[in-house]
Amino acid sequence: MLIPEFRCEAGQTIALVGPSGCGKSTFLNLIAGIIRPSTGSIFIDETDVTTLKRSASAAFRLSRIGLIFQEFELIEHLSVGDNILLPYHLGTDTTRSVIEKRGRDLASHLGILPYWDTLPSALSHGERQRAAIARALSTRPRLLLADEPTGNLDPENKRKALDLMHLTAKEHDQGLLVVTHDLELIDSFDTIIHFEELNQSGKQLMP
Amino acid sequence: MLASTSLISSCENSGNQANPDLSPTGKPTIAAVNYPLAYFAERLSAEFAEVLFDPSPGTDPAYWEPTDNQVSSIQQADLILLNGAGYARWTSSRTIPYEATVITSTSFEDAFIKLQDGIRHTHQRGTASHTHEGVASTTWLDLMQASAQASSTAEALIEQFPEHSDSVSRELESLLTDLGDLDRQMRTTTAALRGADLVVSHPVYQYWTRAYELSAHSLHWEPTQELGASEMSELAATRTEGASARYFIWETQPSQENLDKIKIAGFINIVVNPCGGRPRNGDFLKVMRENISSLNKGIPQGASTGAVEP
Amino acid sequence: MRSSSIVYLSWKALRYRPLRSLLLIGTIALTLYFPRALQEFINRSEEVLSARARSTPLLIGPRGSSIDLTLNALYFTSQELPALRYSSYEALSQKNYGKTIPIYSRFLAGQSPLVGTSLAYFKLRGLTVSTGRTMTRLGDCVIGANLAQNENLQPGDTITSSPENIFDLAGVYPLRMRITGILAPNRTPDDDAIFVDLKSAWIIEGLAHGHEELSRSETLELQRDSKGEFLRANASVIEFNEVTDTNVGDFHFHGDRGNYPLSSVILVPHNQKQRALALAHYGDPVTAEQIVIPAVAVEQLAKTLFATQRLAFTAFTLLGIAALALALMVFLLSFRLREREMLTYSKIGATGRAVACLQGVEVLVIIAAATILAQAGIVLTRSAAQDIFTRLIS
Repeated sequence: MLIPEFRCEAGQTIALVGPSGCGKSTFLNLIAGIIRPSTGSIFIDETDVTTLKRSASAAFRLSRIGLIFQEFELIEHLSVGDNILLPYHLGTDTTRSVIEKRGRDLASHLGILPYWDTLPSALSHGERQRAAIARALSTRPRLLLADEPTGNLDPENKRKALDLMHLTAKEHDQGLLVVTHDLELIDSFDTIIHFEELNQSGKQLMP
Repeated sequence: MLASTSLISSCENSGNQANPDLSPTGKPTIAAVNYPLAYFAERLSAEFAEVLFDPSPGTDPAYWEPTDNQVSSIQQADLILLNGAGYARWTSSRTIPYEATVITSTSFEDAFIKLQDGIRHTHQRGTASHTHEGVASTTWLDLMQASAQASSTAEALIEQFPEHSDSVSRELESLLTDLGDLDRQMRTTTAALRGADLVVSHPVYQYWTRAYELSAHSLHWEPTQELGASEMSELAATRTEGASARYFIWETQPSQENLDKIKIAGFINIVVNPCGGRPRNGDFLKVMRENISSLNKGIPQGASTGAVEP
Repeated sequence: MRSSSIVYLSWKALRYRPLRSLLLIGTIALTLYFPRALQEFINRSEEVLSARARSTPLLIGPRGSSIDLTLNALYFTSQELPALRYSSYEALSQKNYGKTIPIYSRFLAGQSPLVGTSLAYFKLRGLTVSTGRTMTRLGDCVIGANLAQNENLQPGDTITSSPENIFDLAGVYPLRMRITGILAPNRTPDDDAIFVDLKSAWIIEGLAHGHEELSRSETLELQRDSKGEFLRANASVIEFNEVTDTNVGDFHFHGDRGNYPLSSVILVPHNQKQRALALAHYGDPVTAEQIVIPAVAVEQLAKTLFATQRLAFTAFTLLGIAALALALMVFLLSFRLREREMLTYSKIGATGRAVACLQGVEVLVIIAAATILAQAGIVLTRSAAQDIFTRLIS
């Protein structure tokens, strides 16, 4: 993978499209600092995350980046509420009361508040996905990276989830980078990037 | 005048009567199975101990059956004086602490008199019967044996209460002197009975007759029982040819009727109290002195009237 | 990562897999428990044996196994040696080496040992009557606290000795005994025993009787003859002796008391000199009796019994190693299965140290729980060891 340059502004929403296996998820992991590039730099809010030590990188990610995984990756032995509060448990600076209020509001908006004390195994795919979304948004990250966040949602919930992501991006000046195959939804994004073009050409498609 | 102010009978079996419990005080306690031993203990330990001996009045201690409460009190005693020679059969059927018991006749147990009279009888209707088989048990009527029992009591007291050995020794010396005097007097008095027909109302005088070289025929008569023809025949059968006199020895004062019948039969009535139980008045020595006095009054000069002092 | 969160997340993970967690806790707890519990049991048993033996200075009995004699006198085990004669007790008492306490423990009442002895036994063992009073006459008994509780007995009740065989044709009848008192708990074999005057034991032996007719068993099933009169039932019927207020005076003993049987005699010497004299006298092989120092006999017994301790300890240790290895494997497999979960934590933003803490705390919680459980078991074992050992050896 060779990405000469990529930019996402605060408040900008970018849809990343491309065929399966072209490296979109890997790209998200690079940005998140989960994996490191062999060369080059990745700046998030003027911090080069590639230079951070692993623990600092993790802490940075916890507080600044929200992640929605393709396979939801909820913790099975924690309730929906505990999963949403997981960033708090893992050490984010936000107080519990604040993050819990945010989490409950998000859960309510996404229609999963009744399942706050329920284990993920009792939820449908769609409900689990919404829980994962709420978890990622609960810290009000500077950058939200989402890998197929609406794949298992029905049209109504899909729309709700995307609207919520867009809304929080605009309200809180978050960058939103979504990997998606759903071409019906990409119109709502500020920018649409074909990853093969990004990878190959390195040209930045400006708004 | 008979010396028998004591009401201690010879062989009455009273069973368990309602008696005051034997209650030890704060002083050490010494339990005794008969009055002579109680007397010895009282004299020897008067300064420091309390003596428990309280069969119901009129009860022969040899056949006394203590209540559970009384046995419990005896169990608490520091010393339990046993007579030995099978005396006080309750000691065989009750639980008493072996280590606190002293058999006061051990020093002369080789001299116990074996009994051959095994007649089972009762003294009172409704009470359990018993026999006099085994060995004779009224050991203290031989006053030298009584002295041995007193000495044994003193030894036990000194061993148990060594801090009082001086007072015990002192009192023993005095007691032995008294018993020795009594023995001499008894020996002198009873010398006149040798060669006479001597009938005793009950077989409790074995050691007395042996000690003082007398020969007696034993009956099984109560002081107040009716003496009919068979009894008088039995008495007549005891008469021997050539006897210097004939004496009938009672344990306690008999009825006037019996006195008269015995007198008519040619015998002189004399009361010799074995003193197994506590006398109403006086003490052991007084009872023995009264016995000697009765004998003196009854023998030769008093024999013609047959008078017996009440 | 917050400490409270680490504990919280670990607790949630453990609670989610209760069976696995309990199995791990149980396995580790048992591994920790058994060797130490065994050690505690042995230590306590040694203390119990030694204490009871030390409180029994010397024992005189018939020649034979000193351990059998000691166990019979201290723990009322079955009498394996021939009886000692009463004349031996009298001879010993006359020597005045010390306080002598006769023991005759041949009989049982049900499973409870029936011990004929003297009142001095209670003083020796520090036994007091908590309810009622001590025995006062033939046929009376006092019973241990455990027996009273287990059989719901109290003063005034009766208990009957057991015939040695159902067709006891030798004319030895069980004795129905009056319970006069219950002993205070002593945490020794005395708590399970019945104590009678030595003479009462001889009544059971058949050496004494009263003159009244034997009482009949209340459960006796009688048959009537053709005239309606009761017939004596078959030979399997048990009748019993009973001492009452009416017949107590009639009870008498037959034969030479010197030949009456005993199990042993406890000797409490007056002083060291008398002790030495007693040991010298009865240590002579010429004497018909043997003298035993219970503390020495018990020490030998302890060495014999507890020689297996080392073997058991080795076995437990090996088992423990295997169990711990198994537990470790379970932990490792478990963490392997949860790799994805740990990766999720990392991806969201947990540091490597935080993830390691999470796993470590789970292990620690299990080990801590196991340790607490094991320790609780050891404390219980320590407190129950004396009673367990007493029951086992009785």
